[in-house]
Amino acid sequence: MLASVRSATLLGIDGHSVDVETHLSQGLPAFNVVGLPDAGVRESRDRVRAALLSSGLPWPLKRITVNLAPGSVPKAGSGLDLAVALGILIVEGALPVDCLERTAVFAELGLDGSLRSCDGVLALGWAARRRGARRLIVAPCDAVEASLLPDVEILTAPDLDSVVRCLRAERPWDDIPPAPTAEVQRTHTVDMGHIRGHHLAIQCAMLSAAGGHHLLLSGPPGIGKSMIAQSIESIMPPLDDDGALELTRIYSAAGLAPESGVVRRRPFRRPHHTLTTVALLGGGSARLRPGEVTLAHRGTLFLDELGEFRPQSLDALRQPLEEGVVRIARSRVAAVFPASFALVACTNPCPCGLGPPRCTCTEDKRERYRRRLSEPLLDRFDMTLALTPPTSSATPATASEDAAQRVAQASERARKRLAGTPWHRNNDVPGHQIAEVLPLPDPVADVLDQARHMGRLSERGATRCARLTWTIADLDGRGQPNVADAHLARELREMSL
Amino acid sequence: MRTQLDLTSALGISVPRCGPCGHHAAIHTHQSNPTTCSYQRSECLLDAALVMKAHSHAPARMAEHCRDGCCWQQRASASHTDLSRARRDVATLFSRRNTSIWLSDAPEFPLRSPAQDVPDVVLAEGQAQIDWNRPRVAIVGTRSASPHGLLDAAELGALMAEAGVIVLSGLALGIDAAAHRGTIKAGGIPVGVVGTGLDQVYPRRHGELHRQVHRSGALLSQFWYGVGPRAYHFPIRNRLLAVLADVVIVVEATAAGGTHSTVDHALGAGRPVMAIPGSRRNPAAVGCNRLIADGAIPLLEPDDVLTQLGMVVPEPMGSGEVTDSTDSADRDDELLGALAGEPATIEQLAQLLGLDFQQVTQRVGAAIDAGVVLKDRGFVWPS
Repeated sequence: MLASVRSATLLGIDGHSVDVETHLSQGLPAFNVVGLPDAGVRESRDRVRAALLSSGLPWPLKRITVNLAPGSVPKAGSGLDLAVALGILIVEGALPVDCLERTAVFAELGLDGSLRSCDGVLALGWAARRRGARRLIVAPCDAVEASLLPDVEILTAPDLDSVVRCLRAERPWDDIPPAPTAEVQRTHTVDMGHIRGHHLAIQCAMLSAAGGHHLLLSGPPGIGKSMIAQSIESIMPPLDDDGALELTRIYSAAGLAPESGVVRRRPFRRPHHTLTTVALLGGGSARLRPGEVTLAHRGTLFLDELGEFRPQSLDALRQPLEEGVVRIARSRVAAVFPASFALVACTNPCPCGLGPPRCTCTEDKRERYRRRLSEPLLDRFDMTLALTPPTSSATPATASEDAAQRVAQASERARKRLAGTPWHRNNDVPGHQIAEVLPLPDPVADVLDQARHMGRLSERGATRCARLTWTIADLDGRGQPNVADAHLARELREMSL
Repeated sequence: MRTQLDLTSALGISVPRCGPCGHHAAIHTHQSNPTTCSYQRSECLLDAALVMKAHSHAPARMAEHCRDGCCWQQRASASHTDLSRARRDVATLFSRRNTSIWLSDAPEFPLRSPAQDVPDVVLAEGQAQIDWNRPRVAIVGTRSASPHGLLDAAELGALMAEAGVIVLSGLALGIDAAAHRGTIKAGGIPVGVVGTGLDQVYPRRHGELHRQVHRSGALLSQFWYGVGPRAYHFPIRNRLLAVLADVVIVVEATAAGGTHSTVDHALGAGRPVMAIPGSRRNPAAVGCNRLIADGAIPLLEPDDVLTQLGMVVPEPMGSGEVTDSTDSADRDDELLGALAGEPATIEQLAQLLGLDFQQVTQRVGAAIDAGVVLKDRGFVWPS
């Protein structure tokens, strides 16, 4: 007696298709799971047995062997529970043999037989769909997320007993609520309208949000650096459907799926400076988990007090900042996670914190403080800005609502221009494609070329300036950048600490 | 305190055959009639070096030790053969490093006028032949200098180089380094007076500057080889720096800093002190302003130094035209006016000029290209 049920397991943020084969044989009653299960999968034996018994379904007093094929891939997580249970019911004859034709199954079981959510349903469904599955059975709370998959029928029921009756066609499958298409209500804490003065910093924050540019704010303590950086959360441009799909997949795989089932907002991540390099980049030995850089994909990664982070963590950021992906390799598994984020960081200018012209630190002290941040990392910031206390007559900035609208328009303009390319924001375009995808008008390009010839901009600097020039024009609502935009981009880039 | 006598007595003790008085006499005899003296001058120099070496970890107390008669001989209990070997080692070291040794009472010590607290022994290294009869200025200042201060120091260094004046400084960060660099760039004679042994580089990142000064000028130290930087070395170093100079120029100084010790030594030795005045908002100018209030000579134009040195001021080559006409096309007076001699951010400039950020950066970019402003630490500074 043999049955095979399709399911999948997570590897990083990608699913990997798994066939759950169940075999019943004569002998002393036993229940074994083979095929590189981790502790979580091995525990499914107890859950499955309890769930079947409490749902009033028969439990065979025979020798049960469950094999998770292919045997070479390590299996993790609890999403295989339902597949194991249904496999046992099929070999026992409680369900028709062909009832799971072209169907994949992902759900955890409770002891009472209820279906529970499992991590990464979207990624799992994707893998199953690639292997030819056209129907997915998932827990009710995963149904909205799974419904983002195209060309796949999503089936759900509250518990194991209902699933069995649905498969026997004794009851209909449950309805699935529609996936939220619009952004949920913003719940940001800082509104830009609360910030007085700092108009250039606010403009830089908007440029960062609109184009994905990296921004470094430096200034004395208590001046509002963090507030400006946090206000970026309130002006993020809306996320398109592709982005929602990609982010939902990442967040679901990380076990951070929102209650609504779908990520509809660009992420704003602000980890504390004690985080480890693995937490920042992703990794882990048993199951690769996405790190903060991946969780900030298509959004903003805000590092407050940049100098307090571990130097090796910060230097590890250099590759993802350049490539937009992070490559994680461990002894048994390797993965490539998307990591195209805008880095926003704050720091004090020197140990005394005052900065010019009031600073009294010696050059040596300043140099030592600055050396906590490696030059190659600093070189990757598109905008570096020194902040001074605003004057008493400084006016408040535009409210977040208006700023968000401008950012959204700028982002839309860039998206239209980049339509048909794999990139979404100006800062995503790789250096060798700039000339084709983001060509600057001649007089504007001359400004940057001149700076390069004078040795004031490196090759990378000129590339970064070109991208920033476009975003400045986008934010101003102009179709083409002008010379002044290039000057501003160059100046923001050159303002080193 | 008679340092010459202290040293001689130290030398006396250091040679087992004679007592201090005998050697005091021997050196004087040697100076008056070298041929009749058994104690060779070369031996005298080597012994001075040995005394210096013995006290390398407490140079300030060298004279004191000598006076107390508990000198290195007792500590090392040197026999006559030990002494010969020690002399030979030092001689080898000096010939390998091409070091010259100056005794404070000897004629080769380039002291223009007598001063108190002149160090007993000074080691000098350098590849250039220096005519110590030239006028000498010390350019000193704070390590936490503003970009203005660094520019001033470099310009002064270059001006002194052109006028053939020897520029002494301390090879420290900030003003010192800028002065040395300005001098070297203009082909002048830089002299670095350091607070460590001559084989040590402090601060470490000045390795290249150290080499350049060695190549085109000289390095002086009153510390034995291998002696590292200690906080109390630098006031001692400043004393040597001050007495060697004809004029001491303070470019920038904070309210309380090492520069003041140089100034005190200079005043004690009767050397004139000049200071460049600055804005009261600049913490690196506060010390200078206070010095001027206390009677230092204000240095308003670089040429003032030459006047102070009694050198003929070079005929101004149409000075009025040079600054006005050639630059006028590139000078952005409105921008400079808005800066008013102070650093400002782009944001502040935009507010002062009533322009948007794009326009301001364009103006600043042009002004930087024209060299009338410069950028440092995120601020725009008038240059």
